[in-house]
Amino acid sequence: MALRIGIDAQGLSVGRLTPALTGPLALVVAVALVIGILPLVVSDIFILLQLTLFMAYGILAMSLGWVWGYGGIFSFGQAAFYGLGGYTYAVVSINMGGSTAALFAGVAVPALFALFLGYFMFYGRISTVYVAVITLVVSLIFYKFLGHTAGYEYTIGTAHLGGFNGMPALPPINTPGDPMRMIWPEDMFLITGICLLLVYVGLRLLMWSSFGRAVAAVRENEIRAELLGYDTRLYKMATFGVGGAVAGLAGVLYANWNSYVSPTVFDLGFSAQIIIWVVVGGLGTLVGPLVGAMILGFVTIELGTQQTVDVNLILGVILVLFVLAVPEGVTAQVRNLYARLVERVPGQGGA
Amino acid sequence: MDLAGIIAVQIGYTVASLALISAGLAVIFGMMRVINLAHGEFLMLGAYAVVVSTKAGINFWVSMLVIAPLFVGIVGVIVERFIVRFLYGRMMDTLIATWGLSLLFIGIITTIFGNATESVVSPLGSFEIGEFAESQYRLFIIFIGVLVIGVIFAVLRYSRAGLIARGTMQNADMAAALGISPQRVYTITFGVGAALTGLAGAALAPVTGLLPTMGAAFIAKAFITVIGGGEAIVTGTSTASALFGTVNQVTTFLSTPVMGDVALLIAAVILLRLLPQGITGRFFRRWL
Amino acid sequence: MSKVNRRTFLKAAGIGGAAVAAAPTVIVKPARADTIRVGGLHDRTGVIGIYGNEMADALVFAVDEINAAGGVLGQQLELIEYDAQSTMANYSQYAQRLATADKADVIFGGITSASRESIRPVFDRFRKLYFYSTFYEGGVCDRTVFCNAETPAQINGPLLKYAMDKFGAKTVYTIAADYIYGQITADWIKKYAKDFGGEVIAEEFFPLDVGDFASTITKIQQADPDLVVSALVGGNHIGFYRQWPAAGMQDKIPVASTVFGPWENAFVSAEESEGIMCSYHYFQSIDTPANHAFLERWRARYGADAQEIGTLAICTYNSVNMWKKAVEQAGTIDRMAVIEALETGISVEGPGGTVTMDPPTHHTIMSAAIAELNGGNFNIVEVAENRTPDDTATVCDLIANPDQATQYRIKVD
Repeated sequence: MALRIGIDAQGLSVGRLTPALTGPLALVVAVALVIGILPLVVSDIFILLQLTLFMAYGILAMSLGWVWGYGGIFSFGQAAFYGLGGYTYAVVSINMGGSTAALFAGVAVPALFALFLGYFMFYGRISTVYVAVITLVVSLIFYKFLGHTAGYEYTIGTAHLGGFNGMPALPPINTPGDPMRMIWPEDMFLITGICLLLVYVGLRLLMWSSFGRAVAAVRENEIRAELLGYDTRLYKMATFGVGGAVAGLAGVLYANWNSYVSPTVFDLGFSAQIIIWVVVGGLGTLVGPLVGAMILGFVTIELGTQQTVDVNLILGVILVLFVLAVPEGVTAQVRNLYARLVERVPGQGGA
Repeated sequence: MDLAGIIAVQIGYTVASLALISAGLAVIFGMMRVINLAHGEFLMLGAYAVVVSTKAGINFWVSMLVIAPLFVGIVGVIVERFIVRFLYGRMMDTLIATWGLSLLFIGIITTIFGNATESVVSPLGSFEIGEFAESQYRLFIIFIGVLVIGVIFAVLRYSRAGLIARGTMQNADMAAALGISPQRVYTITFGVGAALTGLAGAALAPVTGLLPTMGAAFIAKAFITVIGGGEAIVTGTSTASALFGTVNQVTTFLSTPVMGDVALLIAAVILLRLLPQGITGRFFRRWL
Repeated sequence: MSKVNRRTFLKAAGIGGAAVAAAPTVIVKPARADTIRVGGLHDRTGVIGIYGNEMADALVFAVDEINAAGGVLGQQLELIEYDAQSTMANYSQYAQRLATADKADVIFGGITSASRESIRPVFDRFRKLYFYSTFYEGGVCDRTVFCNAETPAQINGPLLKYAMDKFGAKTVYTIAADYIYGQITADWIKKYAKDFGGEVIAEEFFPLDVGDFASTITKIQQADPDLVVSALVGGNHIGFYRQWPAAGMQDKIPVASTVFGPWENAFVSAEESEGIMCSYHYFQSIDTPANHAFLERWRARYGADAQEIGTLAICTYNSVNMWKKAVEQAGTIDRMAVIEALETGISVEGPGGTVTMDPPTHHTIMSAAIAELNGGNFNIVEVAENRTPDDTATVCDLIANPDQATQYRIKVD
């Protein structure tokens, strides 16, 4: 069945266009400016390198924000697509040298795999909690399998999978047609930043499209959507596939940042971490997961620079206090605060 | 023939230890729908409790069967009263809070005991079937596993406390109207789940390495078992343990431990595809 | 060129300051001009913490000792230390930070081979001198990297010879961790078993998160070898050393391990470890005046009841001192000058004896001690002197071909 157009936008959070449009637009412009100017003025490469990683994490977090926050599918194994993207990029780029094909493969393979897994799960009408477990299990299978590939028989073309030690020294993304041109950390920062913006804008547009509205309808009430004639299984599968593609892109960028992938990208800890980024940032928004990923990534790294108190101990306390104190996530909290401030200033809060 | 005997013991052991590590989680998740990501750390605390009290001169069996469950049970009650209580109905927030707790417990234990601690030695000798020797402690784990499942069943089925607990989980408002404090029932259920987990950790202490991060090795398996089992706590956990444990152990023996784990995971995926509600969603539906 | 110009121009135009202020603040430690910056990157917390703590402690200890004695070339050392928390992505981040923001002059760190392979490219790219001090599978061949700990050819040969002679063993059963270290070690064991007149009858590999060894113990009984050689690694694999005696196997088949060290020993009781044979460059029980003097200083710093340390701490300690000696010989901290000084075959006297840099491989020549566990103590039974890194030498010659920067997979035959 084709994806149908036309559901009443009323009652959906994205329905009111004006305020919904100005916010994201302002954000995109602001972020674009920062990404464009930063490499010119920051002489410290380290800041760029670190932000590059956090932007890749941000894209990954947005993929879960889309699948879970918008599509209502709780994927506990988003890391599976991320890792698959990284590994695909690694195998293809080592075999083919040039990176353009590797980049596309790194997005396409996880997307196809997500569609396949989505078909398996949603056409089997598996309920929410069980979808979570299956995605987690799939991620763990990848973890186990790739950890097991230390032997030389696990070589694809010229790429040795390397088992637990992973695949080092991956060729970086390069300019199509001019593979010899060096990629500097500044360039990588720009590429990752542009990907981040494209993903954000792409997901936004998707949410506003008739497809996106149908996805929201399926999330809100699956039976009603079905009675209205939507094949909910198809919509869920497509939502999941898009999420897989975005996560795969994040994986490709990560593999580039690091020139290295290893099975740890599939482990339980990392899967849980993605969920925590999304919840900390704010479920149901697109910016939230991005913010969550950046804040937590930054905190974790800074904590490791001190040796006085155990890192886990502090992180644990932060997370527990956070849930009790900031239940709706950072984004919602900031938005509420902003709304309150705007209301207090007379003559300004007429939205 | 001797080989068949020893393999049977090992399958029994794998099944029993799977049931043991999952029982506490089944109670907490099955009855309260709380995903406790600190489950592995409750196991770890149980193992540390038995080691610390044994070193303090307390009898091993007392440490394992009484002190460890009691200690972890108390920890569970504290966690419920000060954290989880505020998060009922907010499944995802509970997820983060318990993840935070898991990190916190790892941090505390690392700070106190360092990264490595000498564990207790298995107090039983070995036995032989023909030319094969195996630890008697494995038989003991099988015994404890059966005992724990049996006790949970008996309590839920025959005791007044079990009836109250089941009633509260089904309809908290109705239970409250009948003069029962759901709050108290939740606290006690959470504490019991934690205590069972502590017991499992204590029972495993003599056969594993004791380190603050040991919980991570168990949590995924425990979750898969509980969810594979479905709604019914006792029947679900025991049938899922039996299925997954057998698949795991047989594959391990025939090929390698990696393939054993992969076979377990694949079995779980296929099971959930065929029975989206877990085993007890289709079979044994009215069982506990 | 154009980059720099663009940048300088913008900065001069004053836009720079404002935008930097708006950028996220990243704490960068102000580098003092009169100090030499030493980077440390180990896992103090998390799963690998059982190995990482003593390495990080040894680095702190060595740096403090050097500073107390007046520093290097008259300059004090400033240690910048990061805890990678047993997470691979953190390794890359901290390595980048050490190379770019902190501008470290030399880096000591990395524990697992995976962590080394994730940070080595960073130090290659930013041209930083890097010392790796964990025993590993061998084969790293990189001009900017110096591997100052044991590789399989250095320690497995003497151990296997000792164990097979002692028990008249002809058949060997190998159990190993399922990654490159375990696989290559298993290859060496196969070779040495043959060299010493026996054979490996079975090999089994275990992922690092396996903790239950019941079926393996049964399979071993079925195969009934004369000797079990273990290359199991990490916290979960401790289960084997506990389940083996519990199954009553301790008096039936002897066990030799290429990995068992004080870290593993801290987990098990004296009864459980009784009789295990193992081999490293250093054990705390080595009975020499140099070692006694070292341990006295170590305990003065970390307490009389400090956790038993092993070869990881000592190799880290030796690395720092070897680097110091090379800097002093070169008269500068310039990377190439120090590399060339190290390639003259520098040697230092460490607590475990003399260690000498082998110029073509950038690995060290050192002694290998064989120990047997009695009552929980590592009893030294034999010492093999001057073990050369023969494994890496088969694939790597950095003097003839200095442009290599890779890890070769060594084929054993």
